[in-house]
Amino acid sequence: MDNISLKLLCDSTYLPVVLSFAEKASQAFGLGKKEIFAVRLSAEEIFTYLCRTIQEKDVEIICKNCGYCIEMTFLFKGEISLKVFNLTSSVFPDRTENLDEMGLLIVSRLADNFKILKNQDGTMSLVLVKDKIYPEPGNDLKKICFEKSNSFTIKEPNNEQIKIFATSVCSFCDDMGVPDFFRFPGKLVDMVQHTDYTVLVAMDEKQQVIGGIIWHWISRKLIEFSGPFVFKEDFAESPEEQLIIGFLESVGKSDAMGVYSQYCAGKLSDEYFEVIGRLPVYDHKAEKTEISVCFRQLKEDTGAVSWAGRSLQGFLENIYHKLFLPRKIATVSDMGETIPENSVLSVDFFRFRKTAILRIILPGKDMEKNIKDHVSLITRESYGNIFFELDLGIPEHAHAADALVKNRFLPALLIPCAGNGDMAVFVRRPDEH
Amino acid sequence: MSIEKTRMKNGFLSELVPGYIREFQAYIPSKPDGVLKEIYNVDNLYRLNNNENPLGPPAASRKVLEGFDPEAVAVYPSGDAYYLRCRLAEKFGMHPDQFIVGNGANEVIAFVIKAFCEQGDNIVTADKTFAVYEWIATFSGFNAKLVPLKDFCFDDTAMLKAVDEKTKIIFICNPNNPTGTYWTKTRLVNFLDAVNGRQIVVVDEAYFEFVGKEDFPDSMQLLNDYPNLVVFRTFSKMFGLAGLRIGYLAGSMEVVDIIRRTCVVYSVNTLAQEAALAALDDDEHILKTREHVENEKRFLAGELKRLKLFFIAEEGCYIMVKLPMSDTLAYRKMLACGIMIRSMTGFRYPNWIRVSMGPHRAMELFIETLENILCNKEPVH
Repeated sequence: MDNISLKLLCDSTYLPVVLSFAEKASQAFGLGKKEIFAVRLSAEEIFTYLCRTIQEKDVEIICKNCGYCIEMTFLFKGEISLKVFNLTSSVFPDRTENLDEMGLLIVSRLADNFKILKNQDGTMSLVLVKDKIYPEPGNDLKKICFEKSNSFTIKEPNNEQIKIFATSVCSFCDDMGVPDFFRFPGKLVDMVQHTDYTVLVAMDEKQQVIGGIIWHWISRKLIEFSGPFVFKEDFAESPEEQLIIGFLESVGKSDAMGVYSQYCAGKLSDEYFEVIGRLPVYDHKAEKTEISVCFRQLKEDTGAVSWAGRSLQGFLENIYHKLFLPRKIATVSDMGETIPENSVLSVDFFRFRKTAILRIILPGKDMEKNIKDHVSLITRESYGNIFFELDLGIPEHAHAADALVKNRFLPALLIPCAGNGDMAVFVRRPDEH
Repeated sequence: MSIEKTRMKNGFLSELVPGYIREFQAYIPSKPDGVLKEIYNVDNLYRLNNNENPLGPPAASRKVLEGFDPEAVAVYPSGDAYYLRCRLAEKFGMHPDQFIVGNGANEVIAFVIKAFCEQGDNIVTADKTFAVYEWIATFSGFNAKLVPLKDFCFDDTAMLKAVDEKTKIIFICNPNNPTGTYWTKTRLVNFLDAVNGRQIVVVDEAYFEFVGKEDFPDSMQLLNDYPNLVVFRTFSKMFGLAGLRIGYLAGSMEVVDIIRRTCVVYSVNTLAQEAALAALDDDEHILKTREHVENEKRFLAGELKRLKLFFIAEEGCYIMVKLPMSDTLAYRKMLACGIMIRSMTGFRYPNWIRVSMGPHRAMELFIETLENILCNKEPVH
């Protein structure tokens, strides 16, 4: 992984240095013209914002080449307003403090991901991610006709085999059954090269890719996998089972507590995984289907505490009993303590599946309204599937359950160990017409 | 304070920790019985997960434990388990200096690796075996080359192929934990001949006393012919002293002399040394335990056949069972009924469990619970 960094004082006289750094680093890391311009503009807005807010303190700008994207981090010490990180933030140019935030709002629209992190050492990071642009193979993919073969082996693929695997997945499976990244085989290759993702494929003796499985870490303790996708099945041994075993053997001794998938394909899912729930999803034609969500622990469960608002308690008791998970449910209550005025939410969009996932960055008094505003905006963008992930390992987030219920969200699923603790997934019921 | 100073103040650890430690994941042992009982809401708990001896320690060791003078704990133990080494030497017809006693066999694994490996070196062992060889090598900064088992057994040919000029130690678990498979004397001797003294060959015989097969090797008898051979034994399994943590290694004088340089002396407590010393002469205990293990294995094998489950019941005091479900889910469901088994995903055996031969009532309860789980009957919480 390549890193380039620049350290300087937050002083607007250095702005040209920052702009030049952002532009040249993006260029060196392979971004296209349009993306370089977006990074340059974002860097300008962020640096200008920091010059106004933290004034004359040091800032370190680190540009990281992640293969399929670049990540630009502004590392500094000091407090800034987080409200602007809401997707729904709007600014009124007649107020000076809002002008400060206008810049960050622009960045959030220009970047593929823009987030703020509070680091353990007390520093803060503003992180913007800009993806490289990859070509799509197109919509006229034909199903591959396989030659006759008798045996297969499970192996790590080379780059060309990864691309064949990705295009085969898209041609054999419908859009709702596969993650978006399969649509960009070149991107998938870079993701694997960058070690963010790992792929195993089943190859027959004629070197045909007859199946595969892919996985990546989504939190400190949880691995998300997709597959196994099998395109040819007439073998003495089951490619599906061998792919699952290969995957589980690879991750069995890792630090992960468990593996999970919304794209667990195949007939053996019940044998190797626990179906922990079903999520209702709507496709492009607004037709409802259900996705089975699979999970499996890799380690022996030794118990944990889940923080919950009262509206979630019944759901949790029921699901923990059903899943045989030893959990102590600790309910939270409002005792008049000071809570920040403004909450901050993040949203991840999955364009092809028309899905948006909301999460809490900062809880606040306006949570109910903030959720309502986000839902309203996401619905306007024609996203039919809106989910909310609530981390039960963070007591301060537990109150949000009540605000979610008031916004027509229902708890649908519990993913063990997906955050600091277990993760409750809420589904928003469509508005009644 | 500048970013650099803040980082220096708070983030110094990342600078100090070697990469192989940063990437190593600590093993988290299961919680104590009392805690598990509380979180799984059960009154009784049968531990069928650690291959402990349900008959406990031999009578002679019990006597030592019961008569132990509390005043003795104010005095340091023999730093190198002098009397125990003398007795072991007498028993095996060797010199006391051919033995090193450790705080469980785990400690002597670390001694051997520390003694022979330096930067860039590797060890060779199997992918599905006792994990501590791999762990100690990895967190000491050495590469562990893991050779897949063949038909559930250590693959001698593939292990020899995996050996390179940087290989210092080859670890063989005989019989293997968790599969119970073993190399015969002929196979082990052929392997040692092929190695031809170029590497240290460790044969871990933690379950030696459970094996009654005639072709099973007693590696102690091979030490004269193979000075590069090191043998591990333990008092935790057959002799029921797991809670006292005591095990030992044996080897040629010159090899043990090297290993001793890496030993932490005084690591084995007085009570453990005395109880182990007493245990060595109790052959009746071995016979009784073997009988118990054989009976329970026979019972369990019959029941598992009835349930149409695939299992491996080879040597050792355990059986491995392949389940048509996630082993970690089975672990939770079993624990909710007061049975603790070993889920095997962490051994790279997804959907397998390992069951120790516990008291007969525990084995009955295990089968009853397993049958309920497999029939999708709700186990009673």
